[in-house]
Amino acid sequence: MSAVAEQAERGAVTAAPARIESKHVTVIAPWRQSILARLGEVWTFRALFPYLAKELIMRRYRRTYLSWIWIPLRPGLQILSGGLVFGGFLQVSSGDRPYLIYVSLSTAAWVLFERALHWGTRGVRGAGSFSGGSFFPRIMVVVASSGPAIMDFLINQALFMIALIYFSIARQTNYLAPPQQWAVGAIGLLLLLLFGLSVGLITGPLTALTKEIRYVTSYLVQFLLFMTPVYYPISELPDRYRTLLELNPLTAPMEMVQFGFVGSAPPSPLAMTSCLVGIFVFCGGGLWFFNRFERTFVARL
Amino acid sequence: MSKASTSPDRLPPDVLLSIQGVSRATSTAMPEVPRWLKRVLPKSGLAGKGANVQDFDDADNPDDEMLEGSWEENAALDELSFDLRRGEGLGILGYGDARATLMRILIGALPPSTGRVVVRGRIAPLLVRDLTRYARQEVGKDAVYVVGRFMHWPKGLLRSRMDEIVEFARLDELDRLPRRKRERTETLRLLLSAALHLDASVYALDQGVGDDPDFGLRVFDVVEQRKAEGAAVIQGAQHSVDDLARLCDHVLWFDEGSVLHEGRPLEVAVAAHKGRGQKVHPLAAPMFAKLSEGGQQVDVGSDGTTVEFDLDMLRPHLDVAFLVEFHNELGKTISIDQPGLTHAKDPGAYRLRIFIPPGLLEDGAYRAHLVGQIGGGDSVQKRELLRFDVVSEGQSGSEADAEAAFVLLPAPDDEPSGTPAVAEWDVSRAAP
Repeated sequence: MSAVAEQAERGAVTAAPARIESKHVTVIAPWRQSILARLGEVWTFRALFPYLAKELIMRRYRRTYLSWIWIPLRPGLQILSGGLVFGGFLQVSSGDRPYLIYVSLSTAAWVLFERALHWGTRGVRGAGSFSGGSFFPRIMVVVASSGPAIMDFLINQALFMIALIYFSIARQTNYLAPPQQWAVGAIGLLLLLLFGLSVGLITGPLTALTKEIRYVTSYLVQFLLFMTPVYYPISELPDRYRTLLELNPLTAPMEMVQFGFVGSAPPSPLAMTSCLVGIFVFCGGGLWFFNRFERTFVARL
Repeated sequence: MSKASTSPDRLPPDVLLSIQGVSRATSTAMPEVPRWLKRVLPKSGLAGKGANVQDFDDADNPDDEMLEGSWEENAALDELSFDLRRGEGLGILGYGDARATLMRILIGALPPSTGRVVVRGRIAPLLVRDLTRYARQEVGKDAVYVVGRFMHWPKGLLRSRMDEIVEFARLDELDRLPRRKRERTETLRLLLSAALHLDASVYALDQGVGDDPDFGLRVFDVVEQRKAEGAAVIQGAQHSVDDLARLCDHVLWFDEGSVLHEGRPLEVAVAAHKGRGQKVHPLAAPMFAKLSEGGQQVDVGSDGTTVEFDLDMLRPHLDVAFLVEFHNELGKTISIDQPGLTHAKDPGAYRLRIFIPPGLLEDGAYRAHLVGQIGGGDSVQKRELLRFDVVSEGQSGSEADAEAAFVLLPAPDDEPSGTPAVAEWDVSRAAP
């Protein structure tokens, strides 16, 4: 068979003429140390967000016997144990609304912060495995850690909705706050997520250096959980401890969520100030820290 | 191929790819641990990591070195610049990191350390290893979309062309393969097919297109067609210019991060052949020698002497030259060496004959060294093969114009009996 006949046999000679795209100019430049460059990378690589978020979610349930059943099981068990200890044994009051409603909403909001921080901390260390060691901006992993955080939040939120429906039938009372307050709750949720991601920008690169950061972070988060009005409202505390809690920058967003969705008391001015200072410090500091540290990953490629 | 455009913003309209002073350093070491942390942490942990401990008291190490990092860096690419125009094909030849590093920079899998790459249009990465790295455990069309996310392939374009991509991949040809191998091959075909359907202006290939020759030929056909339509091609190969000759009009031959030779494929092939020096590891021993007649001593008489050595060559394609040095007790050194190289094609037993001419040595005892020079160009390595004693008698010292001679032959055992050995190799003669 002649060469031309072989080509015809392979069918390649019939390929349609290409429309060569040559208007767009791409510049591949060295990695640049700049916070704006990091933010630019988030935009340029935004298409990676759903993929990385899905990978982070699936990593939890791969190689487990129960697989996806863990998705509702874990938050369910967490709420049940919290509700049993604080609402059952300790008889913590949650005002004029059932404790289950209060705790399921607060836990959902807390999960948003805690899971974003958890995956931001862990994800950067194993980021190379997402691309087989090739370059992609590691900050995308921290941003994508909001994926599993939002998913866990939605599951917890579903439990909150179930509790709302149950009590509206059982007690003929609607415990959901009026719609005009929902925006405040949404801003509170956004702030909690932002806090989680910001701290993850610091702990993520550090965990890539040493695993100890992960251990320390998990203990600190546990401590922070009890220093934030998640399992009890701040009004239940003696006055001298309230100020201490209001200095916690997470208190205000948590109270905004509770105010926005179940109509509890709004955050105090001191708590709001702590929150604003905290978001400025952690968000700016996190970006600065990550920007300085990412050169380590780039140079190691 | 031409020199790089000076201004990236004013890229000439026919330039599709411009490499402008691109360098890349590679490094693998861990970042430094801060000094204060090393003092307080146990040595069994990070503080005890390798070379970092040696720098423990280095006052120049700032405490924030954990952030700065400290690595041993090697230059994989050094200030590389060129332009690739419409319809041009450039081959990159090289064993080392340079070729793979350049390819990975082109597709965005590795950022350059300095310089920049300007691409007019889109690059089609037909790089099997990198595509599969990005795809990881994803298979089939999912892998195409995942790789597309990393490489900024337009999702809309992929969706609209997916039927063409699948059709070109001809997955039905793989039905008889075992499941795992079929999945792997299907995925690779789809990825390469997708890269071919991106309306790219530059096609990047490295080391062929995997171990699927039928599909590889189809890919090459299309790339050749695209080149004829005005696209540019850049292709890497490890050692053979002929791998590049189909698609490339110009070849760069890299060595140690910089360009050793460049030109048309034929020119580079000739240069590569001439300059080919077998790289031999410092610890390797590719040749052994002993005196054919046994013992450790050779007597040189008034008519000169032919000394025969049995050589065992353990490698094919060795370029060798020989040198004998004679040292007497007074510290005098006389040497004879073979100019040029002799190419020994096959491994095996050889016989080396060296004629020591009359008058070269004065009467007396000498310590002699047979030295082999292996390789060519810049990579010649000298190895001492044998030490032996020489006793010279009856020399007048007045016939210094006689020439030494070196002959390398197959060992007599390899020849048919009764037939004298015939040298297939160069016979070099040299004055002492």
